[in-house]
Amino acid sequence: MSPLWLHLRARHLTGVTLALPLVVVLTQEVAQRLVVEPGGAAARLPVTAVAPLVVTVLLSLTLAGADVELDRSQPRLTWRLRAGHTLAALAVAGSALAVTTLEEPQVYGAGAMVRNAVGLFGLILLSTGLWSPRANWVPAFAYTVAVSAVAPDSSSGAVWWAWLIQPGRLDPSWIAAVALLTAGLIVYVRRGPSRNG
Amino acid sequence: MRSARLDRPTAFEPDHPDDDATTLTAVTVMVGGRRRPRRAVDALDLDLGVGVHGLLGPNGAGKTTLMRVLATVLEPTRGQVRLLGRDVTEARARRQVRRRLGYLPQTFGYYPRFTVREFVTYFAWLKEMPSEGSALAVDDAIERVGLSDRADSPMRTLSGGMLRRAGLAQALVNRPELLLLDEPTAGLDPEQRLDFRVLLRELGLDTTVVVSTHLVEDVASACTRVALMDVGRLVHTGTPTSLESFVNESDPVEDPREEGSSALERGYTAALRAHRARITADAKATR
Amino acid sequence: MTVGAGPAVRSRTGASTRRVLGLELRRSPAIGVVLVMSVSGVWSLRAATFGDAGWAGGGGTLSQISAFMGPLIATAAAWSAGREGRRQAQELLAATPRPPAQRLLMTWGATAVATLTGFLVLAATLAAAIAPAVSDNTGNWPVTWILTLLGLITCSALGFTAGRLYPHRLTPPLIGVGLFFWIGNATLGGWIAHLAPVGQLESTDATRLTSGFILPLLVWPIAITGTALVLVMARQPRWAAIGALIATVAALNLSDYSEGTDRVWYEPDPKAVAQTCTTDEPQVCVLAGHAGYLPAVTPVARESLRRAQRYLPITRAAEENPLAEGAPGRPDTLPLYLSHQSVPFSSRLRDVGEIRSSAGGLVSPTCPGFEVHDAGPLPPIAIAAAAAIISGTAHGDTAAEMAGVEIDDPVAVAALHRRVTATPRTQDDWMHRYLTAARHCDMPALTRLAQG
Repeated sequence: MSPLWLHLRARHLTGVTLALPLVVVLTQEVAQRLVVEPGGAAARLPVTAVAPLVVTVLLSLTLAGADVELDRSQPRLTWRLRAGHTLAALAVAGSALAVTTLEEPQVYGAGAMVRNAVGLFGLILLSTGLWSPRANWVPAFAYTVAVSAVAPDSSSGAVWWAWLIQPGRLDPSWIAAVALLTAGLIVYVRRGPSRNG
Repeated sequence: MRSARLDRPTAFEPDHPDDDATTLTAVTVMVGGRRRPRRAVDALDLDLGVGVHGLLGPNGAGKTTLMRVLATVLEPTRGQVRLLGRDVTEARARRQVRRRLGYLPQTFGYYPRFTVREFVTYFAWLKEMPSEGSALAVDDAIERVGLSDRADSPMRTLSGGMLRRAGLAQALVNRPELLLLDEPTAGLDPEQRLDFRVLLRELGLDTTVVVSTHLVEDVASACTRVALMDVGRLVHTGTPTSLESFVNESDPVEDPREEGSSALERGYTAALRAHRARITADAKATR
Repeated sequence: MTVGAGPAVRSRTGASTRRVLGLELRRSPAIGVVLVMSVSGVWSLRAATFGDAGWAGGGGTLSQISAFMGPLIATAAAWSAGREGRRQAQELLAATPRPPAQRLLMTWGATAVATLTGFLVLAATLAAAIAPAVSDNTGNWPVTWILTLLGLITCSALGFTAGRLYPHRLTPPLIGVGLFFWIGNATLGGWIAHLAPVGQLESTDATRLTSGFILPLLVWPIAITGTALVLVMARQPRWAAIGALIATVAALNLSDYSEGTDRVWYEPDPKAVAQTCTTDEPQVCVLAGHAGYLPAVTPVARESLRRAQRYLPITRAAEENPLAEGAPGRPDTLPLYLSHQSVPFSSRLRDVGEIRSSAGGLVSPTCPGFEVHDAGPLPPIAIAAAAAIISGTAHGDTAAEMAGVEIDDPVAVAALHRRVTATPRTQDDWMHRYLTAARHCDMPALTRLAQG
């Protein structure tokens, strides 16, 4: 029973590891059925917006232990460990999502999925560090719902705040997503999970 | 007067109109499921009248299990439980008894965004208190535990001792006839403990109070009777003085740990020792 | 000291229940949900695409908005429901007399009240936007509006059930996502997907609810809600089983749905084509629902009629029958299109002059066997010129669109300009030649006409 294994169990990694392949398979199923749908980006929304949301929300479970105060008093849980943890989590998320769309990269764009995972994870990191480690999924979830509901057209401003629903090509939506991730990383790695709630 | 939809009115039916006593008869509680069954409470007989009863015992003695049985949270495996003169095996009687009951568990969950007042108000509603007068009862309970100045603070901003007092307030809000307090003074500073003992003595005048605690000073100053438990069995019941006198009755064993201990503490250890010795002797004799 | 409320005194539902309901509302995420519902709903109503809704069409809009609100409400309900499990409050709650069913009903009730409030705000805003523009109140459109509300309540019940059964902190977002998939993927699941509580009501102004489906559509959400709540609050498996049975019967009735046949939930509404006409000549008719526009439309329509009558044997103007889209109109009628003219919250038309452009559609040749556009770039220019002349040049582009032509090429635009700026006599002469060529689908003639 190695200590690393215990740490991973404490951070719900077993549950997440079991759930992730399930999500990947389901996403692939849905993607295959939706590929014949007309309607372009809007029709792909269930896959390109929701799958990264589910994956990043699952990974949000691992960002804090059961007792944040107790964790903060431990010497081993340094900023380096947190940084490594988040980058590893992001790599897992990105590759899992990229795999789901390997079959239809033109239609679904692994790019869009990866960008959305990056941006949403940034949001989750921000809320873990600033607001509440237990409810850190709320801003990312609310943002996804809000943007999907409003569904603006591709006006020049929309590409910044509605980066989630843009197609995957390299445009300012990536800047927005990466900016969110950077901010989230800085906050979470420096401050650790927030002490509230 | 009947209320609308949700409550089904029933008449008041005491089985023994003059007998509001709380008694446990040969109560046994098995815990641990099918894998590791053990007796948390073992054929216990207990009579509780008006007054403050202290419940002492080592960890694992079954005190909390006993409290849970008294609070109608747990059903005994065997035996009869009469609370406030009612037999609580029937659901309707159980509901009626719960209206006259107050319970403070050792740890309790609370909703962090509720303020203290909202928390106590919510429990006043859960205890089916009548609408008129319940707001006053809430304020009264909060004042009795000394939280009036924090009544509108969210519970997540309270310290451990204040949370305990908030829990005590909800136990007191319906002016219960049977009050069950599991480790009520945990987290209270000495001054607050003194206030609490005054409150206990006051309550003990017309309420059946059961206090489960490790702090023998609480028992010594506030309790009129004390019950000592060990491994699910009652070792001794009586007044606190009777427990102190255990030291003279048993062999005076010199124990270096007992330096600085009070008479009640020494009586407590002596009683336990004597009980365990008796058990071992009985076990040897039957072999 | 008076000891305790004796068992004979009941807690009266009334002041303390109201207090606790207020407490639940204040402390639950339901408030946030109401805000989001109201804001997003009102926001989506200000868009121009809303413009052509009547009461039945408004029901369809409500259904679309609720497709996003439903998962959000389910998430909030799941979060409230998991409160007791997450906070480990069972020990304390078990010692209280009030039955768990009442306690949980109060918790869910707060979410339901918030849902109802949000829906009323949405519906009231939509009604205020529609009411000035629409005069016709027939049909069973209220059922659609009520069904949307029932669907939202069902979402809250389903979310509550999930949150109570699995009080894990990830249950709320996952139930939201799950519900979203169920709602959003009608094409994936066939008739089962159509059973999703919200977002499935494709109501338009030209359709009405098929009467045979009204009862199952009403019973289905009520039965599902009842079953879920009874299962989770009262823990009465027998009643839950009865509810599930009723729900299954309703669902099987709804499974009769098959797209493209006459077994759909919304069938064409004959009343939608009823028309209101002027009493004097030349007759101008609009759909009964647009009767309020008739005074504003009549002078413009008559002016357009006068213009068109110089070239075509037209005697009346009438609004298009929405059910007969694509079918050729009567030869003596100038078609009017008012469906994109309504302005939210107002009884005026967006641009009444645009009505003139509908005449452009009359001059487009129908040549069976081939497309005019395949005959080269010039015939379409002739068509566009004719459309512009017959409708008056102010709305020449729209008229050309009505005729099915789009002009991009600057040479073509110049040719068009020459045509429409010629003298009236030249125009008349040119039009008569054009109409003859168009009637006979004479492509070379049209090409010559386009050049001059």
